Order: sequence, then C-alpha cells, then structure tokens
Amino acid sequence: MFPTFQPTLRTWPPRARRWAWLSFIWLLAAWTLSCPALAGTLTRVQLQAEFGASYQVGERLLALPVWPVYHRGQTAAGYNALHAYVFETVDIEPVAGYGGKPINILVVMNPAGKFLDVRLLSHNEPIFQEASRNKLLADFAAQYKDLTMTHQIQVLTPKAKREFDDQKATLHGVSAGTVSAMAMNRTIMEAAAQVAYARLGDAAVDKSDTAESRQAAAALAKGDDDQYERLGFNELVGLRLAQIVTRTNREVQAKFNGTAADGQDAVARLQPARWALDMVAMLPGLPHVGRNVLDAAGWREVRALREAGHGLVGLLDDSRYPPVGSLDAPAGRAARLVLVQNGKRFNVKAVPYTHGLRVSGQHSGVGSSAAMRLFATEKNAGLDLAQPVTLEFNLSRSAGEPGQPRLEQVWTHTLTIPDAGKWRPVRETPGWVKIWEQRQLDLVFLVVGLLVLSAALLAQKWLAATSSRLTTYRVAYLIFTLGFVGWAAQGQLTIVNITALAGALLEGQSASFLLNDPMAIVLWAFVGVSLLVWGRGTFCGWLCPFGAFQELLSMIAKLLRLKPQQFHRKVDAALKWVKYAVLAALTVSVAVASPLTNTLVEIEPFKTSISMGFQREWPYVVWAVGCLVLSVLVFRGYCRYICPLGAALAILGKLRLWKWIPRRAECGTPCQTCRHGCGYQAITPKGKVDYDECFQCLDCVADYQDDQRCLPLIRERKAQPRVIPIQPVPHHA
Amino acid sequence: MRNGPVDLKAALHPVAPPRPATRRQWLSLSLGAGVGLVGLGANALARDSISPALDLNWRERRLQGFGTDLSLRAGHINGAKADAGLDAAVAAIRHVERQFSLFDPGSAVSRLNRDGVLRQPHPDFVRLLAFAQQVASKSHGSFDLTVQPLWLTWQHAKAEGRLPTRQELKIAKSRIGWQFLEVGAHKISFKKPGMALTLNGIAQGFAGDLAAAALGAQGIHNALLNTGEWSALGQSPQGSAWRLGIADPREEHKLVATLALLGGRVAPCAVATSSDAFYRFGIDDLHHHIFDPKTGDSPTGLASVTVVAPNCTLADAMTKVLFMGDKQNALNLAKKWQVEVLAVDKSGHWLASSGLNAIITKS
Repeated sequence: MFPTFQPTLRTWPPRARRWAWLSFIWLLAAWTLSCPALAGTLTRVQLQAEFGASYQVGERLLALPVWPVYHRGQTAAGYNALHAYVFETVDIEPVAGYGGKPINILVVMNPAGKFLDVRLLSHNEPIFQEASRNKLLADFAAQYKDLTMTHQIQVLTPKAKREFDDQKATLHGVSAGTVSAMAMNRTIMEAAAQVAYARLGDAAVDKSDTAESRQAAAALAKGDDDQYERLGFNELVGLRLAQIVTRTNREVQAKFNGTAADGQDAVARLQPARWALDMVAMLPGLPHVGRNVLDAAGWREVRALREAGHGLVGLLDDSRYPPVGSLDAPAGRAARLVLVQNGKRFNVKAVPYTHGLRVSGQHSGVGSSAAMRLFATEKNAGLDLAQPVTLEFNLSRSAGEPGQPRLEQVWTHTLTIPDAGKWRPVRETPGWVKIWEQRQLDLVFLVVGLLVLSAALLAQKWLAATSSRLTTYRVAYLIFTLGFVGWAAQGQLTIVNITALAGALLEGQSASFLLNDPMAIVLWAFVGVSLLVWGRGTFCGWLCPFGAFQELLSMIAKLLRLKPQQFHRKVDAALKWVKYAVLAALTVSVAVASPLTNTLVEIEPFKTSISMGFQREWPYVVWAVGCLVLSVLVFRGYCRYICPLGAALAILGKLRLWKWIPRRAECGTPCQTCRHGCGYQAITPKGKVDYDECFQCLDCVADYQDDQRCLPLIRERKAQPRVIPIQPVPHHA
Repeated sequence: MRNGPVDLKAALHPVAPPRPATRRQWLSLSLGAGVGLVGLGANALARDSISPALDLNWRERRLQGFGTDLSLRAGHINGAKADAGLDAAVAAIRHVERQFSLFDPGSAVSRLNRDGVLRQPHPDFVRLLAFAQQVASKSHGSFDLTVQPLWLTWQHAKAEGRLPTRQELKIAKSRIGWQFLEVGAHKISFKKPGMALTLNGIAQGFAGDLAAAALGAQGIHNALLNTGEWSALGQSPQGSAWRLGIADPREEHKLVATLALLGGRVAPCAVATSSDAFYRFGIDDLHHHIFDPKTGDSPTGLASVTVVAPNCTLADAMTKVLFMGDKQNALNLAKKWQVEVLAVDKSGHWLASSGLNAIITKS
C-alpha cells in the first residue's frame, strides 16, 4: 500500500510553518472584520412606495419586523381595514441557500394566511447572478402568490406545471438550483408560519393555553412536522381512522328501564329513534387524523400534548349525552368517558379545544353542530395508539330525587384501527435527506469511481509500470471525471464551497446548507483524506472536471501536433504566485463580507463550462473558452497559475504526511529526465518534488521504473556484464 | 326601538363634515377625509388663533397596538415636522405598550405581577398609577386597577366552558383592592398576596395623552389620534371640528350620529368608550370584560358608555366608573366628574349629557 516506495514521514519544513502562520492571520483578520448577519433593508417609506396610494403601510409591529398594511377608506372589509402583513423572510426565518447566505424574499400575507405577493428581493446564489438566471429564482418565488401558509408544497422539476388546490400545491423547480429552491421554500413557509403564529398569539386573548404549552408548541412547530397524507373525512371513516359511534334513545332507555332513573329522560321516550349518542371517535394524536381533522393551530396543540406523553382521544360530538372526563361528576345527563386497553383502565381529563376544524363545512360529512371534545390521559400513562382502545361511556342520569346518587349504565365502543402500526407518527423527512435519496445512483457511481481511483493510486507502482497502462487509465479516468463527475452529476468542487462556508461561519449561521449537495460532501470528504495522503494532486490531477477538460483538450491538441509552451523556470515560479494573490483577494472579500465576492468567484470558469455547459452570457463564455485555449498553449495554464481553489488546496496540502514520489540520489544530479518530463514544472533542478505544484500525474513515477528512460536504471542496465547465456543442451543419446 | 347594544368601541370612526348629500355620498366622502377635501364652511366652530387649515400639511400613520388597529393623523405647516411629530407619537405608544403589556413577560406590569414589587419604576408608570389611585379613591373603588385576579378567574372558567363558581369568585375578590396597592416614586408594591394589576382599562387613554404631548412638543396642534380611544387636537384638515361617526349596530355602514370634537390649543378633546360587546365570557352580554370590583361580576345596567373629557386618560378611566349603575346614574356622576357622557343601556336606549348633546348630530 503506501509503503510501496518506503515513504518517509514528513517533517514540517520552515516554509510550511510560515504558511500555517499566514493562514492563521488570514482567518483572524476575517473574523475581526466580519459583518453582522444579513438583515432586511426595506423601510416603511419604501414599502409605502411599493403599495401605492390605495394602501397605507403601518408602523412596524412591536414584536416582529413585520408591517401591517391597511386599505385606505371604505372597502368591503370595512373602513380603513387591515389588508395584509408584509415582511422580509430574512428578518423572520433566514435560510441559507447554495451561496451560504440567506435568500431574502418579500412576502405580503393577508390576515387569513394567503400570500398576496411573494417577491425575490436579494440573494447570493453563485450561479444566479446574471439577470437571466436571477429571473429563474424570481419566477420560482412568484409561484407562491395565491397560495396559503397552510398549503402542502411540493417542488417538482423545472419544466413541471404549477398547480394547486385548497390544500396542496406543486411548483416548478429551478434548473441547476434545487438547493436554492428548497431554501426559498423553507424561508417563505416558515417565516409565514411564524408571523401567523405571532399574530395569533397577540389576538388570542381568549386562548386558554399557558405560556408553557405555547412555548412547547412553538418549539415543536419549528421542527419537522409529522408526515401525513391529505384525506377527506369520508376517507378517514373508510380507513376506520374515524369511527362513528351512535346509540338511539331507545337503546339507552332500555338500559335504564326499571331503575330509579327510568323516567328521567322524557325526550328519550318521546323520540326513541333519535340519537342519544352521536359522535365520531378518533385518536387525534395520529398525524393522519389530527392533521386532517384539526386546523393548524389545533394540530400544533394536540401534537404538543402527544409529545408531552399524553394519550389523546377526540370525539366530534353531537350527543344528547355529552361526554365528560372520567372523574367529572355531572349533575344531569352525561357520558363519563374511561379508556380501557389490555384490561388497564385510563382516566381521562377533558382538555378544552379552542381551535377550529379542517373538516367542518358543508361537504365534509361532519354535522355543523358537532364540537371537538378532547380527552387526555395523564402524562406517560402508557396508552398505545397502535392497539385497540375501548371507550367506556358511563351514561348517567340523575335518579330523580335530589340528593340521590346518579345512576350509570355502561356502553362501550372499541376503537380498533386496521393496520394501526402504519399510522404511527413519523417525522417528515428533512429536505436534505430527500436530496441524498434522489442522488443515490450518482453517489454510488461516484463512490465506486473514487474506490477505483484510490486503488490505482495506492498501487501506483503497478499503474505506472508501463506508460501505455498509465496513459490508458488516465485518459479513461479523466473522461469519467469530466463526463460523469462534472457534466452528468454536477460534482465540480469550487472555491464557492469554501467562500460560502466561511461566509456562513463568520456570520454565525449554520453550515447545514452544505448537506444539500451530496456530491460535494462526498468529494470534499475524499479530498480531505487525499490531502493528508497525497496532497493537492489527487483532486487537481484526477477529480477536477475542468482540469480534466483542459488536459483532454491538450491531449487532442497533441494529436494535432500542437505542442504546449513552457515558461522559463523563473517566469513559471513567479506566475505560480498569481493564484495565491487571487485567493488572498477572495479571502479578504469574504472576510469583509464584500458584495464583490460573487463577482470575484467568477474567475473560476467552472460554472460556465461544467455546471451550465456554456449556456451563459458571452463574457463568461469568452473567459471559459479563453481558459481552455490557454491550456492548449500552456499546459494546464489555468490550474497552475490562476485557480484559487488550487491555491487553497496547495496550502491545505501542507498537511500531507508522506513523500510518496520515489526519488534516487541521482535525481537532479545529474539526471534531469523527470524534471524535463514534468508538464507541471513541479520538479526542481535539484530533483526535489514540489508537492504544492504536483498534480499526481505519475509520469515521474513511470519514468522512475522505466529502465529505458531513468538514467540510473539505464546505467545499471549497461553496467551489467554482457554475457551470452549458456543454456544446457539436452543430451541426446 | 333598538334590540341590541350600540357597539361604540368598534363603531367610532372619523368622518368628513356633513354637507347636503345622500348618505352614500357622505360615506364615500369619509374615505378621503385625510387629504384632498377642502374646508366646507365649518369655520364658525373654529376658536382661538388656530392657523388656517388649508396651510397645513397632513400626515397619517397606522399601527397595531393594544391588540387592535390604531391610527394617528397630524397636520403642520411643515410636512417634515408633522412626520417627526408622528414618529414621536408612535414611540410614545410603543413606550406605553412596553410598560403595560400583560402579554410581554418582561413588561413592567408583568414583573410587578410576578414579583409583587417593582423597584425603580418608570416615572410614567408612577404618574399613571397615582392618577388611577385618585380616581379609585374618589369613585369609592368603582375604578380599580387590581381587578386582574377576577379576569384570570373568569378566563380560567371560560377555558373550561363554564362560569366561575361562587367560591372561585370569593377567592378572586379577596385578592383585589386598590388600597392594597402602594405607589411610591421608587417602589410599587402589593400589600396582599395573590394581587395582580391590569392597566388595560386606562393604558390606551394614557397612550393617547402621551402621544398628544409628543405632538405638542413638536409644535403640532391639529391632530386626531386613535390609540384605542380617541384624542382630538385643534381642527380637522377641513378647518372644522373633528367628526366621529357612531355606527348603527343593525346596519354596518350606517351612522346614527356624529360627534363634533374641537380640541383646544392646550387641552385636547378626548373620547373613550367601553362596551360589553368587546369581549364576553358567555354567549350573552351579561358577563364581559368590565368588572364591578364589588360583586366580582360585570355590572348589569349598561351596554356601552362613551365619555368626552379634556384628557384621554380621564376619559378612559371614567368609562369604567360610569359603567357601574344605570343611564341616569351615569349622567349624574358625569356632572360630578365634569365630563360628558353618552350611556347606552342593554335594551339599546341611550341618554347623553347636555354638553354631549350639544356636539351630537343625529342622522
């Protein structure tokens, strides 16, 4: 493996120490100069200009950077009525996009939670800077208009059609901008939910919930909700998730016949066919039940109770015998509810339900006079939602004479839900997990590709044993890198990955946006390891699609007899510093959070040539093509002299642990074969390998073992005495 | 005559001065009352040396506060000055909210309720409490800031879908009493356990006065402020008295009367309303957010009380004082307190004091 060439453990040369110091100073400077997090920029006066004379923008709300907007004068909604709330998402729920910075969107939401206008304000997404690309993001944001904050939103392909009904909406995605689209979706929907929640909290003078449960609900609301599928009330009944429980007056009366309470319910005798019990029983803690039956605020509360360990039963009740808690002592007719499961009895308490229903309304199948009554067990009482629960209704009547005990008769209903296990609450998969699942196949190819590369590089002696083997492997791999990693799977690592991460960390934002790009994560992980083992060469020489592009082009050029030029050693050495200067400029720009950063990173032609296949405005295309032409004239000219990513990797490559390129005493003095053969000019006249500039092409490793090219080997070969081998001749009789 | 109570709280809104026109036209005029309309000859009402109305530049602000939508309108020869004044007025309202919000656990009143004591209170808090204590004393406890335990008790019962029991009310009543609130410049404290304060009966009025003062400090003497209650300064953009329309409870867009308010150069003219329809604990109008501290329940006589007074804090407080009793009692008390009143009983009949009758135009 590594010890093929007896590598020596490196000691840190003084130059590396200097670099370490330099990096440290850069970081420190970046830290001190970093700006505070992005904030919304619009003022009331600017907003007023946007809304025009028919509306008046009010003062910012006390608690949140949200502005109320009013109609002027008389409208159907009343005199000077509230029209909407307007806010910038970055103020409420900033979500980093691909560029690591939040995408800021202006949202105008009416008091009912409907989006009247959704407009992209600003973003730092690297490949959406020019107008035509920026429009893609703006168009994506505009799709939210007329949706509501409670819509379930699914983002499809860029070509998909936008469609929506009352509950669900499918939107078209953004080409080469999945991550940006996901970030925009989150920032819009979560900011809207927070604004609505805050407004509800303000107006909800009559909400009974304590500050504590509200906090809990708010905390829960921020996390991923439970998965569910939109089901109508009739579907819920069909799946037995909601079960209708009815008893006629006649049936109930029969229970009381002959008792002291026999005559205590005159209506029961008069209308024997009418319902005494008329309710729909359900377990609202199950997301398919709760999210379909209760409104958003109600579901939040129920979910908070469930998460706190309460077992919950919900009764949509329209009964003459109203259900009450297990320990309640009702004065008149009532149905005292006790739950029984596996022989264990659970006392329940009535929990006032003050929110609305999602199933109410004409066509829902639920009576308009039915009210949701919620009953909860003690915390952690151990009611299992996936097992049958028996609802024991203790129907009570007074016994007639005051002071006499009430009489109770028991009716039971067992809630058995078919396949109960499959309705158990499951958190919605976070967005990034979905992305990783979508990219499964790409990731498998990539990992296999990386394994093939690692194996070959670890067996470099075998790989470089013949130069035709090395060339074949190298050409094949570069095609894989350009075709698959670059164009097909969009896995071009770029300095933007680093600037975005640095920017996010400097502004104290989460770096979790990186998870949205699985190809980059896997590649960076591999590059991280390879930096320790081989230095920058593994990425620059083998895994950079733009590098592969250049090298394949110069190979074709060579076939056409075009030979690349090499600069003189001294010129080359000077030019190699240019890339560090580019990196330094970028670092400073990131550190001071300069808006120039996005322009500076365009020095990389990667986006134009790899991510976007040259479908870009002409200045970018000219630059990218120019870089490619340069590589034909000067071998890997961009990589060696300009690339800031290469510079950054060269610095990180200082951490390399092994000198893995075999050398001999004769290397440099007198032999210069490898040096002349090195297209990267990474071997000094003294024969030392400059690993900062080495692209791991293995040409020198091949030379090293080639007894036709390696001078010491040739000498060794020639020094051997020339003798004619004597072979034994079989003795013939 | 009328079946329901007049909901003045929700129904007061500024209107343009009347002129010969059909009702519909009149209403559409009120849409543009802020700008654009010229004076309509109501100058006879102008007094003192109010600057000619047409020279003023008017500015308007809207905001949400005290759980409702508020609006401020102010005029000055220099529009920028009007803007600066309104900025200061908004800041004054926010200042009052921050001090007195029961929703904000960090507000001064929340801290007092939690700890039973508040050290180094803001001078405005002390000033308001001192005033409230005077009203409480003079009204023999009809007005009392310490009724918050009653609110909590009713609130709790409502959440359980019932009314509070006699026992619960007894406990709550044992925790209230303005005499047990001690107000000092450096310390506010409760002298009984379980006490709690609510400024909700007076904070809107106080905000109106602070906002008016903030405008005055900028040299603005013509304004109409809705801080939940109304304060009128000087004259309207038409150079006439400010007019507030009183909506008919049966027909949403119909006005039954208008009040003409002309604020003095020094003292504004303030209007405050309390109504049983604003927040109720049951399905009927018997139990609502105004409590009689003596019974622990809502006063039964009136549906709504509107008070006109020289300052908004007083007007706001007086609506609660005058709510305890019947229409005639309200009129008698108003005379004693030197304020004007319009009281509506539960059956919808109303009675106004003579001073108020003088500024009412019936539709």
